[in-house]
Amino acid sequence: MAERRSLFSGRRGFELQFNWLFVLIAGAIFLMFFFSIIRNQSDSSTEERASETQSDVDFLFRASLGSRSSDKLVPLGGSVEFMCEDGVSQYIVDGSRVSSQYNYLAVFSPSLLDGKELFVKTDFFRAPFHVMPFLFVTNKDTQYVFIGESPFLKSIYSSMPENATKRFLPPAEGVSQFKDGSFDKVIFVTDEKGYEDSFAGVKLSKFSNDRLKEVSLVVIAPLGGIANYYGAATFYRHSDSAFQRVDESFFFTPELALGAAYSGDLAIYSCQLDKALKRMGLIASIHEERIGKILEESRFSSACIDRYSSMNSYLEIMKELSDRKNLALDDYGELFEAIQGIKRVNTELIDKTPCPAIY
Amino acid sequence: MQSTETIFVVIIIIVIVLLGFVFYSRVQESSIKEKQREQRVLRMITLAHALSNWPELECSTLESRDFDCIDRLKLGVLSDFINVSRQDDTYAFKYYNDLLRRSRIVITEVYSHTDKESWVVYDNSVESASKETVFIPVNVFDPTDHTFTFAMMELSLYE
Repeated sequence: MAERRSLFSGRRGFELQFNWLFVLIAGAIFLMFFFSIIRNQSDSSTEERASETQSDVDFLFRASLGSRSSDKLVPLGGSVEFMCEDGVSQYIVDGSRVSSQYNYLAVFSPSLLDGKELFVKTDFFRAPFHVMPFLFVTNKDTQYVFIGESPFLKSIYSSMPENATKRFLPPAEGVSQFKDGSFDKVIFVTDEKGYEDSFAGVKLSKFSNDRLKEVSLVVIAPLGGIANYYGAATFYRHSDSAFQRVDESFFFTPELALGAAYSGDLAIYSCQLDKALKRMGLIASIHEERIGKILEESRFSSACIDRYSSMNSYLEIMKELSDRKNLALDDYGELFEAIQGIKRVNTELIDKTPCPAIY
Repeated sequence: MQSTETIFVVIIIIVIVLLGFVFYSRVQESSIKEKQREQRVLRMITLAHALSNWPELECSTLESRDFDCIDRLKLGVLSDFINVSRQDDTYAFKYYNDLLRRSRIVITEVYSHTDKESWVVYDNSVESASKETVFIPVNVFDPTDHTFTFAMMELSLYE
């Protein structure tokens, strides 16, 4: 019987084995290579989508600098988180690697917005001249619950967009029995009377402990009447047992009161308030220098000159307070009075003199 | 012999894949440049829109604003104000630098009953950078004698 030679013995057999081994290894390397490309492409397409959403939001913010009052619906492909720490304001879209800063724009919103679209309202902050646009941002998954019957609360409620998720809670319904509607965030807005009657020591029994951390409360307390738009805004968070006070801040115009309700968050509100004050000081300086240029024209009467002088004193108050840190309620009262004074003197300049108005 | 053939085949496949990558990256590069140009134009449009409604420059009477109207007195004040704030490195300069970045804003009267004036409101231009410029017609209002003149706002963005 002839010896059968094994297919894989000898030099030829060795080459055949080596070939197969080589093909297997090379094939495996190619497959791994192409799988890694597919994975990278998938990751980068997610990042690209997040980056496009981020630049859309950035464009929206910058375009608002030229907007007058407006209400917009903006599509959103993910969630947006707003942060403000150590005076740096930034936001980041889910999936994006870098955050964007907005240190010179005022955006009032809850800290996290998740969903398919954003409601963006723009309104100018006036003191009483135009200072800067305020952006109020929210979405359908953030619920605003107003408790109270004061005209002040009603004015804040009606300032919110129609399609925002907002409602008044009748006093008879009771906060403790308020049902969890599975919204991402619930922000209660009330005044001092509403807080005393409805919230002191109350726990939301219909919410699970996990859901309670998404509930916050803002108590907006103007000092007197709907026309008196200055006072304190106190922020609360719900702990396991009841609403706990975080801290208070202040407001001195209707737009700021609306901003406190929109954000429901002390850190975000305080940051925007700080920006508004600095910008107000800047615009006040420009108006003051403009008055100086007007006064260089010696042809104006003493009636005008006296009014320009009192205007300058109000603008000085604004500049001084905008530079100061940790303002108290009385300081905001002074700002409010300065705004009313500028309004009054400007109207007198227009109605009673031929001299240029301030704004 | 067969293994040598196999090695050659693998090398050729690798070369083809590499050529494919080079082609893909060239296409991506031109697409990125196009997107950068679009972003630049978008930024210019939003800035031009913002400037026309700027509280620092706008004309207004009791909160009602005149469209595309600039207060002559504010023009005179603003350019000096920005220059002084640049020297002192104040909050004001940081604000304008963040908003306007590398740009140049010049407003020149083109039709006036007196001598035509020109104001350089902001100048942070860069000699060697590429530039996009847009011209926006504006009204310049003098509140001391209630007269209007016609001017052009030249907005240049540098990259």
